[in-house]
Amino acid sequence: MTDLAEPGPVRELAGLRADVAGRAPEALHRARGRLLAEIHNERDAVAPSYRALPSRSTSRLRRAFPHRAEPRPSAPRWLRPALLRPVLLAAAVAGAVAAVTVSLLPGPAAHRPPPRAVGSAPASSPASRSSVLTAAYVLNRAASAAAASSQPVPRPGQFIYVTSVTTYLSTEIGPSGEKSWLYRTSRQIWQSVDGERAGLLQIVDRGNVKLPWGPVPPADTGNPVSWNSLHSLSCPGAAPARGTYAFLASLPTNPGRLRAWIYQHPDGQNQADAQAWTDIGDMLREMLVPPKLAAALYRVAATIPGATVVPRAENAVGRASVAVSRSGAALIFDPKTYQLIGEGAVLTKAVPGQGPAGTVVASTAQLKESVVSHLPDVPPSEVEKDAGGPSC
Amino acid sequence: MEKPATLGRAGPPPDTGRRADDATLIARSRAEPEAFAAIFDRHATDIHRYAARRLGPGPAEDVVGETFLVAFRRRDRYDLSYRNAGPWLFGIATNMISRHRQAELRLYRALARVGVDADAESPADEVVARVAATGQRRAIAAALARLKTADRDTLLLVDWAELSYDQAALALDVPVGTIRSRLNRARRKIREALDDISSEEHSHD
Repeated sequence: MTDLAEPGPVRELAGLRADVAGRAPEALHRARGRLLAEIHNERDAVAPSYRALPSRSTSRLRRAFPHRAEPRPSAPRWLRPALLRPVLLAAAVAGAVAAVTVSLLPGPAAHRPPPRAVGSAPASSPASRSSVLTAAYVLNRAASAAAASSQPVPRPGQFIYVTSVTTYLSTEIGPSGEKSWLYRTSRQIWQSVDGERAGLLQIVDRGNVKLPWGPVPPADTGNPVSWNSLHSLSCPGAAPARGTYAFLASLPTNPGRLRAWIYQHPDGQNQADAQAWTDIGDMLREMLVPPKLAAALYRVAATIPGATVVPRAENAVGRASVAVSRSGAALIFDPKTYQLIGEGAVLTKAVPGQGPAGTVVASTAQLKESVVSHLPDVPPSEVEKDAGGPSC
Repeated sequence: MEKPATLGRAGPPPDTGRRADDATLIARSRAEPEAFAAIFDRHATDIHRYAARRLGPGPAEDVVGETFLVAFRRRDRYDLSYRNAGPWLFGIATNMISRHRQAELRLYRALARVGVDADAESPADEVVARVAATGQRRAIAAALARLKTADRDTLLLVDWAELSYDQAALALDVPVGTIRSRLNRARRKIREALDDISSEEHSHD
């Protein structure tokens, strides 16, 4: 059409009105509210199978328990924990650091003694010397412990197998506002070492737990066991994708270089230190981490400002622990071996419907990491498909 | 204050142990509508910024709200082979913006007359508002108002929303060659408008 060269971007245009999106938080909050209202309307108006079924696998559930397909008369409008959880946890990392005890209780809180300093641990155990403990000290101990540990080296084609117990926030939005409680699950996850194969995830519902300031949660009904396929992450022959063991194995294990890499490759849009803390947690979660890398990750974490020690903590299965928390997001360690044994999240400021600052809104216990060569044999009809994956 | 993290960032993994891509979330939202809220959390800020640049903050809020309502209602038709829903959402947003075309043109024309941006918040703008910059702003605003709608949509999707040519083609549902030719035409006109004022200024020297 023309002989002229393609004109490049006009610099002056790129700067025009670049800063006009003022009042965004409120505007976005209102716009989000419109979407949520629409979502809830659809839930109320559309198929009964969408309503009040706490399991993902509604179709299977209906086959197995036809009577459960009927909506309960005053069926609560469910917001799947899977979605609200990260958003609400985001509230936990948005405020000021709160020095609180991470102690998630599997049973009713009133029936358990407050977590004590490590039970049988000797008086000189680091966890009881809270006054001299710094976050950097705990994290550097964890680094030394990781560096000295040994573990199997997985091969491409194998799977990392991790079991854990998790307790996360579940929120229901009804006419009278939001109500929250915690729900527990046991998880078994098989993740492809190189990311080129589909993985598998089993979730077993373990019931709901009342928040200290919250309402009595409903009894969990429905099929407690679900199997979920996890789509592949990497293309054959291509570089391994983030989130795989192979990717972790490719990262520098020199703390300085790793720190530079982490700050240069944020996996989100939070402020740099907050994002680095989050990204380190992401790399450690439900994963077998090469010992030298784990050590380097803890040493990097030790350099992130703002972390504090929670000397007497518990993980999701009640193991006495020492935790290191930043903006309410905690890594939980064994107080003697300094192995990572879970994560936790607490509110750093009061959230309506959830509780005051210090309320524990998430807790996990990572129980076992190993390497396996095969996925378990699960009938395909039992497995929820996972759309997506790279187009190779 | 930090931005709220997107799905799977601040909190431990929801159902998959990893951050799910948009296609996965949209697929999930067909059975679990709540899953769509995560699509909002990922993209609303970008859509809002884009709409606010074209229309101002007030109408932008409407555009964001409408865009995600429409997207939610159309989620059954989303092509799951596209993992990133951004282009799809920007396409819907562009349609919503077109309903406010007169407001958009008024905005550019006012900027072309006055050279001062009523929506700009920061007093730092005073510093920027040197005569030359004001003149450039007026010239660009006037040129934007004169562009054909399709050319302006294309130009602003690429230069303001920072979509790639391929993504803009997806958003507007036209071949990428069309994007290229619209963009060439639009950028040339903007540049001509800038050249005009700089030659005027020189003639005043």
